[in-house]
Amino acid sequence: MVDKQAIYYELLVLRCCRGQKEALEELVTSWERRLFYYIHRLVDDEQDAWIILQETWVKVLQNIKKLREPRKLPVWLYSIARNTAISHLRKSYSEKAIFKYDENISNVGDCDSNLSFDNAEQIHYGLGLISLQHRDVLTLFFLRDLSLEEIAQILHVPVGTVKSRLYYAKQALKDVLKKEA
Amino acid sequence: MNKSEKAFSEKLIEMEKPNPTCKEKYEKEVQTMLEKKLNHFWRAGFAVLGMLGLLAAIPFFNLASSRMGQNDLGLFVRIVTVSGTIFSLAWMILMGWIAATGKLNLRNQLANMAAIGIAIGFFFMAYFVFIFVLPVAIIEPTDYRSICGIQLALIGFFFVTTIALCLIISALYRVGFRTQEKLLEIEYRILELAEKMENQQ
Repeated sequence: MVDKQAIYYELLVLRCCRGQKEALEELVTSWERRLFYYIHRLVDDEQDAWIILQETWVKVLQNIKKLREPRKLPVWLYSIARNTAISHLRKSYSEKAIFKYDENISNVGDCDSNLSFDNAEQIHYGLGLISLQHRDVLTLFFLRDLSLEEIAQILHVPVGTVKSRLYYAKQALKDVLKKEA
Repeated sequence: MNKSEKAFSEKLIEMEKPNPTCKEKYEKEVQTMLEKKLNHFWRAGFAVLGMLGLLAAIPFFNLASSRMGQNDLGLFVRIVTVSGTIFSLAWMILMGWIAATGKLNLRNQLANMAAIGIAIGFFFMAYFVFIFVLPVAIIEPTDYRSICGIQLALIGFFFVTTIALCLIISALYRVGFRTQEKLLEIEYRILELAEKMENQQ
């Protein structure tokens, strides 16, 4: 079956490549809130988050012609946003220090079954209390733009690792929300 | 992404309350980035190019509006000079518009600039042939000046035609892009309609 969203992305990218200002504006308007939300979860300072978002758009506009698979637009946008945020954070820390993951458990299966997260306000609050590495993967998950495979592409890890990271991140979120309650 | 998931992520994003001052600053920066306005130096450059268009239009217009008496080369000269005047004025208007607004979309306007430039080049060559080469060639066909003139004119036409061909190829490439865009648009609308019909059922 043909995916409507994929066609929309392809059309938008094609128009952007042709230099249509309206298309570029549409791209920025439709994605800036989501990207800002993600970036602001990675970077605490709001002003820095806006600067990173701006840098992200500069990179997007410069490289959109090189995007071979327009259907992967969300993955590409989140990857650029994440890399830009990491470069920003790297000025003070090394990446390993920024994202310390416990990779001992590679695959724990689907962890959605026993955890329920449906209160957006609680989750937004909780995301601010958990560690950066948990926030990173959980924000991508809760923004619902990407599949697990796509999140894996952004984080440059196997899908199994994404599942394990999500499991631990959800546990951490659950713990902080319980404590706060 | 289904509707409930979308609603959830929208709710989550709405929880974010950005600082209006920071957001306004960001929006201004992004708008500037998207518009890519030219600085004063570039605008002056385009104004000069516009003036060149006007300077090119003057001789074309003079010839187009004059009566040449016995040496009148007739309809061809009129067509060449009137077309030359029109294209020179079009060049002047395009350059003047870029200089006045400071907005330059290289992808779209560059093609127009090249097309008008080539047309002016072509009509200048024709002008050169009709005014300087042909009159001499008619009177003194074996004179070295008329031979050189014809050779120069042929070389000039060869270059202008080659560049025009390149331009046509790039225009065809752009048409291909546009066709692809239209096809995607149609495909997208069909899917939208299908979705609406499904919801109604």
